[in-house]
Amino acid sequence: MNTSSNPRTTVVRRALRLGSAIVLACFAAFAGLAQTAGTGVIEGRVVNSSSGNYLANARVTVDGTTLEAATNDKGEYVLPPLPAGEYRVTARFLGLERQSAAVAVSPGQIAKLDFDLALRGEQTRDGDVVKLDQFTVVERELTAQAMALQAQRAASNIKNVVEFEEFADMGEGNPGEMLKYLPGMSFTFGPSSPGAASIRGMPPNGTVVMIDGMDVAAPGDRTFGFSDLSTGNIARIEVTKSPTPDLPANAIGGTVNIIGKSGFGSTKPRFTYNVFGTLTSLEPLEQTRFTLNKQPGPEARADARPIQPGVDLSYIFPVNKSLAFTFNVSRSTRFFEMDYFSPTWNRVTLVQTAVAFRPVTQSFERTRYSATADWRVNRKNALRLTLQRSNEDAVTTQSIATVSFGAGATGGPTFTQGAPTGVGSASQSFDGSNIYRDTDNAFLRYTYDGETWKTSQAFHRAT
Amino acid sequence: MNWGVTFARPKFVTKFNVAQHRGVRLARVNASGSEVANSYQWEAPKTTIDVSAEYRFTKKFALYIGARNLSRTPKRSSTYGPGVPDYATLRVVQHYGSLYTFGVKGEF
Repeated sequence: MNTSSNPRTTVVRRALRLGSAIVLACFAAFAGLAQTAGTGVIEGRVVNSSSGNYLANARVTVDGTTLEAATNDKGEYVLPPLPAGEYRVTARFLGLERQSAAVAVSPGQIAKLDFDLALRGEQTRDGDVVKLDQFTVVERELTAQAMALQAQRAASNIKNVVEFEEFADMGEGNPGEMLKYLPGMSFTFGPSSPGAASIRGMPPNGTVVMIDGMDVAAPGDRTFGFSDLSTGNIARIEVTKSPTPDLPANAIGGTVNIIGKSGFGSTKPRFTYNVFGTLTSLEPLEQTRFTLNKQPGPEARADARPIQPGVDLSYIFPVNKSLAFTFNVSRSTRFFEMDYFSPTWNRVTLVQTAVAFRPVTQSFERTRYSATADWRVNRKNALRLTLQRSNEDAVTTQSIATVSFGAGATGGPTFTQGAPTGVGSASQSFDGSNIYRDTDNAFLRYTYDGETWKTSQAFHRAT
Repeated sequence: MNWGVTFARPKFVTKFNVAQHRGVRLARVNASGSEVANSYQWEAPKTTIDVSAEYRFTKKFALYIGARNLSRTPKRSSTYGPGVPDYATLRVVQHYGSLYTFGVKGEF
């Protein structure tokens, strides 16, 4: 056994031990402050019994007091310490039936109380309760909307929340499809394919995009492309237009926080699949050719079938109450055409000096992987590791026809007359590009969630 | 302004959404021999229509179809400046067409 050690390593280890001891001592002190003698704690989880998902932001209150708590993303709540005795506790969530239960609190003990909330079968009118004979609702749409509203209600400032189960079709899995309906948001690139997000008219590189509260890599000019994401592993997206002090200062437009699915979010393992095809057409619907035959592009590598396949698979696996995993893989290919028309005007002399027509074909291949591991070390301490990778291979070809009317041209609103000396030109050029992009993100987050104090520390590496 | 109509039944959901984007003033354009002073780039207002429908046979199997930008609304970008008439403002018109999606999905 080798007992010798590098002095520098020893110093680092001592520093780490000292730092850990200080952190633990602080938490212990906080916990000690939070729970005084003769008191006990009530904790538990709130689940949507219709879907089997744990509910975030559910309100849990102690009847007859002002004490209340909100559930975290795992559906867990911890009420502030209470003197020993009998209490009645109520859990509420928008659109779901509230539920109350009695619980006994003993000094120094933790009383467990879980709630199963079902869809609401009663409605109140003028204070009276009207019991409906049969009240059928669409579980998924209703609860997803309620979850979004509940998150907005619990937010510290104005926030727009999109719950992904609210939407019927996922299409090619671009979350921008859902975000583009939010007020104040617009997307660059094209009306049928959201790319970068602009909030309140600010440039897209002024929008900070985060995953679970951490900035994510945005190659180039910091503009994040939403096509890099897959909806399969996203629980919800929160858009904040007025940053609070805990948000990045460079978010001049606002922030988009993408909350990933938690392995603890479901009571049982869940596998979801989405197999789809996409077709882009410049023609009206009645003239669109829904064909699987290859269409010729300007060059061989740009040949493509208009209908392209895609697949999105995800798996949530709660091993036990302490350990849970999520996995997601998606792959999509897409072919589309665009037509650009760009006149060039001299806006001083009010003469059109050139015009260009540019048909463009583009084919994309996108592959996205992500995995998370959640480990609840104990009741208050938890670790989450998230790994994400996306590859994009885009082949773009364009054929550009340009007519330049030359120096000395004259004209007006409807015509341009070339100069008598005939110096105009017409040209045809071809342009092709192949962009390959890899994006990797790794997050390690530590969370302390006590009765009074809550803190979260994260390490993030993006390439 | 965005608005939409959703019709939801236990097995069937259909949505009709309209997104009305107002015009957006973008970057300022430097004055030059072909651009007047105090000019700005401008993205014209546009309205896009999306529709989607899903039929859920069971929780494990559902069919869906969707169309984005069914109206094939193009994106029009212009440059506006003091005294520049409308006919000379157009910079580029980009036609992206419509995106159709269809597929199956489910949960186990």
